[in-house]
Amino acid sequence: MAAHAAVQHAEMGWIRTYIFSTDHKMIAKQYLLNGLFFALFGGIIALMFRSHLALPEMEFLEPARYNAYVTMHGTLMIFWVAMPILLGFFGNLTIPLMIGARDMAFPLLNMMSYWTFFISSVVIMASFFVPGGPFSGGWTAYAPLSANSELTGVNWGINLWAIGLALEFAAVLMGGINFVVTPFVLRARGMSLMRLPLVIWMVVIASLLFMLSVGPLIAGTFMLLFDKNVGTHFYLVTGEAVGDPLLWQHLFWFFGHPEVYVILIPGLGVIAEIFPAAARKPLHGYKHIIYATIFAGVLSFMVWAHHMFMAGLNPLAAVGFSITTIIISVPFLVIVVAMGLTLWGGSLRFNAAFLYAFFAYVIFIVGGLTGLQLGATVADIQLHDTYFVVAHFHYVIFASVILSTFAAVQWWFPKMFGRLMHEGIGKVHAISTFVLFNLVFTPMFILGFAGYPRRYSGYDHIPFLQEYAWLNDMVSLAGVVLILVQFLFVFNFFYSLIAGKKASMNPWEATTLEWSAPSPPPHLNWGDTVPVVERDPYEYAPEGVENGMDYQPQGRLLSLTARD
Amino acid sequence: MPIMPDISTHGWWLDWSLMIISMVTLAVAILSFALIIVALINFRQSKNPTATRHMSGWITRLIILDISMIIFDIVIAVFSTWGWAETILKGEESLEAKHGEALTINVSGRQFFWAFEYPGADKTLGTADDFTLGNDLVVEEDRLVILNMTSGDTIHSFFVPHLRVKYDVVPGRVTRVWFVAKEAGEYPAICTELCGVGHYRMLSNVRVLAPADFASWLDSRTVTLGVP
Repeated sequence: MAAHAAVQHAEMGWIRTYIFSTDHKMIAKQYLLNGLFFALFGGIIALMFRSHLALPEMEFLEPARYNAYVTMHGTLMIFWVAMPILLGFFGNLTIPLMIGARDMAFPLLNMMSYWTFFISSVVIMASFFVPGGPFSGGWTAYAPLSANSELTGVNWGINLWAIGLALEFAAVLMGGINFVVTPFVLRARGMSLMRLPLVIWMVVIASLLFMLSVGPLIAGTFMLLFDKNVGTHFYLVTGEAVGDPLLWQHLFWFFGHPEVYVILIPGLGVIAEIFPAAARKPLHGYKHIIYATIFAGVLSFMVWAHHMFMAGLNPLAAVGFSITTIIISVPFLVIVVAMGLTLWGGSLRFNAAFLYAFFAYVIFIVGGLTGLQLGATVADIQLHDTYFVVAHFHYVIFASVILSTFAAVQWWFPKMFGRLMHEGIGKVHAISTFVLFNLVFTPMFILGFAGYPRRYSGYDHIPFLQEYAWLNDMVSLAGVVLILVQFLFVFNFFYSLIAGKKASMNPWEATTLEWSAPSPPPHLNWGDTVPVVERDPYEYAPEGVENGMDYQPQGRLLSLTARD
Repeated sequence: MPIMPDISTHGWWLDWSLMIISMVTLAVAILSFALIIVALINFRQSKNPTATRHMSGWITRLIILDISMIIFDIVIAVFSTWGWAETILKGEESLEAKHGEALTINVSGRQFFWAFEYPGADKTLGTADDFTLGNDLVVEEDRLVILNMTSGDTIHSFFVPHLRVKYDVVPGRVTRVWFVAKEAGEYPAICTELCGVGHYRMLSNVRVLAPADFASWLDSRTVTLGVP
C-alpha cells in the first residue's frame, strides 16, 4: 500500500523539510509566517499614515506617499495577509488533520502554490523600491487613475501591483484546488460530509467562492496592464477612443464582494471550532450554519454593485443590488445566533484562544449590523466613501482576519510546534487589542456621519470638519497604540516557540480529529495508525458520561498493522 | 446625530433612513451584547461546572428572530428605495413640474479643482455667453439646481455634505444630481473619490444666494464679461 510505504519514508533533507516542503503543516507554517510578516508590515504602514494625520505639521509623509501607504495597507492586508492566512494557513493546517488525511490531495501543487505566493510577495515588496514608489490609487485601483501613470506619477508601482496581484491569485487558485478536492476525496473512514468540522466546510466554501469570482478580475488586471502600457482603451477615455471606467469597477467588485466572504467565512469557522470546546457543549445549528453560509455565498455574487451606488451606475440597478444586499443579513443572523446559542448554557473556559474568538464574534456583530446603513441606497449617499465605510469593513475584516488568526494560532500552536502559547500574555493581548480596536473604529462611525472622507492626507484645511478633529486625533492615537500592542503577540509567538510549555496531545480537551494526533504530528500525521471517525465533530457534554470525561473524541486511531 | 445641518429639500429622506436604521441596529446591538454578557457571567465554568447539552425551543426562537430580521429588512428596503426614487431617480420633467424651472450647470472635475459652467443671460448652455467659475458654485435659494457632471481626467466625486449631494464624476459619461437649497450661506464641496496627489485639497465653495442677490450677481457676471 502506497501510504504504508510512505510512512516508512527515509528522512528528508533540510531543504525538502523546511524550504521546498510538500508537507501540509510546513506549508501552513510558511503561509502563516509570510502572512504575519505582511500583517506587521501593513500595520506599521498604518502606524505611519495615522501618525501623519495626528501630526500634520511634522509633514511626516508627502501626499503622494500618504496615498501610496493607504493603498498598500489595504492591498497587503487583503491579498497578502488575509488570503494566505485564512486560506493558506487555515486550510493547509486544518484540512488533512481534521479529516484524517495524511496530506493534501496534491502536495506538489500545494508547494507550488506557496512558492508562487512567495514570488508574488517579492514582487509587491519590490514596488516599494522602484522609482515613483508603490501604487497610490487606492487598493480598489479604480481606472483611469490606475490605468494612466500620468495621473498619479507612479509607473512601475502600478505594473508590479497588477503583476503581483495576478501571481497571488494564481497561487490561491492552486491552493484552492487542494482545499476543495482534499475534503471530498481524502476523508477518513466514517467521516461523512455532515461530520466535517465546520472550519473545513468554511474553507471549502470560501475556496469555491474565490475560484468562481476571480477569473474576471484576472482578466481585468491584464486589461489594466494593456491600457497602461500598450495603449488599449478598455477603461481609458481619451479623445476618440472611449473605454468605460466603470468596467473596472464591475470586474473588481464582482470579485471583491465574494472576496469579502472568502476572508470572512474561514474566520467564522475558527470561531465555530473554538466556541464548542470553550463552552463544553456541541455547536448549535451545525447544519443551519452550513446552509446559511452557502446561501450567503451564492448571494454574494449578486450584490457587487452596492459598492457603486454613487458611481454613475444606472440608478435603477442600484435598487436591485440594495435589496440583495439587505437580504444577506438573514443568513448571517442565523450564523451569529447559532454561535451565540453555543455559548448559552455552556460551562465557559476563558482561555486566551476563546477570548480572541469571542472578541472576534462581538466585533463581527457590529460589522454586520453597520452593513445595513451602507446597503440602504439613500443612506449611502451620506456614508459612501467616508470613514463610516472604513469603520464598517474594519469591524468585519479585523474580526474575521486578525482576531480569528490570533485565535487560530493560539489554538493550534500545539499542532504546529508542539508547545503551548503563553496564556497570560495572550489574554492581555486579546483584551488590550479589543479595547483599542473599539477606540479606533467606533469614533470612525461618528466621523463618517459627520462627512469625514476617506483617503485624505490632511483635514486641517476643511473648515466644516474641524468640529470633530479631536475625535480624529483620538483615532490616530489609539491606532498607533493598537499597532504597538501587537508586538505582544509577536513576542508571545517567538517566546512560546522557544520556551513555551510542552503541549500534550489534547491540551484543550477538544473533540476533533487533530487532537488525536501527537503534538506536533509527525510527517504524514498518523504514523503507523489510521484515524477512524465514529461520531459528529462536537460531542461535548455527551449523554451518559463515562469515566468522568465531558467530551468524546470524534474518532480514534487504529493501528495499521493490526488492521492489515 | 453628528451629521451636518441639512439645507436641502430632499435631505430628510437620507437623514431619516440613516436615523431609523441606526436606531434599530443600535438597539439590536445593545440587546445582543446584554445577552452575551449575561451568558458570560452565568455560564462561566466556576458558576456552571456542567454544560447543558440540549436547549429546547431554540429553533422556534431562531425562526422568530429571522422573521423579525426579514420584516426589518423589508422596512429598510422599502424606505430607502422610496427615498432613492424621490432623490436620485427623479426625472428632470417631474422635478421641474414640482420645483419650477431649473438652473442647469455643467460641472467638470479636474485634478485638482472643480469648474462650473453657467448658461449666462440666454439661459442656454453651449452658447457664446456661457461663463465658467473655478471652485465656486453659486446657486439661488429655493430654486431647483441640476448639475450635469463629467470629468476631464479621472474619477472624482462631488460631495456637498450640507446639501446631501454626493455622486461620482466620471470621464466619458455625464452624471446628474439635483438639489433645492433652502438656506442662503456658504458651504463646502469636497472630492470623495481618490483622484491623485491633490485629492484632499480638491475643495470648492458653494454659495447659496437669496433670489435678489443671485439676480444682481448674475447681472454683474454678464456685465463684466461684456456680453449683450
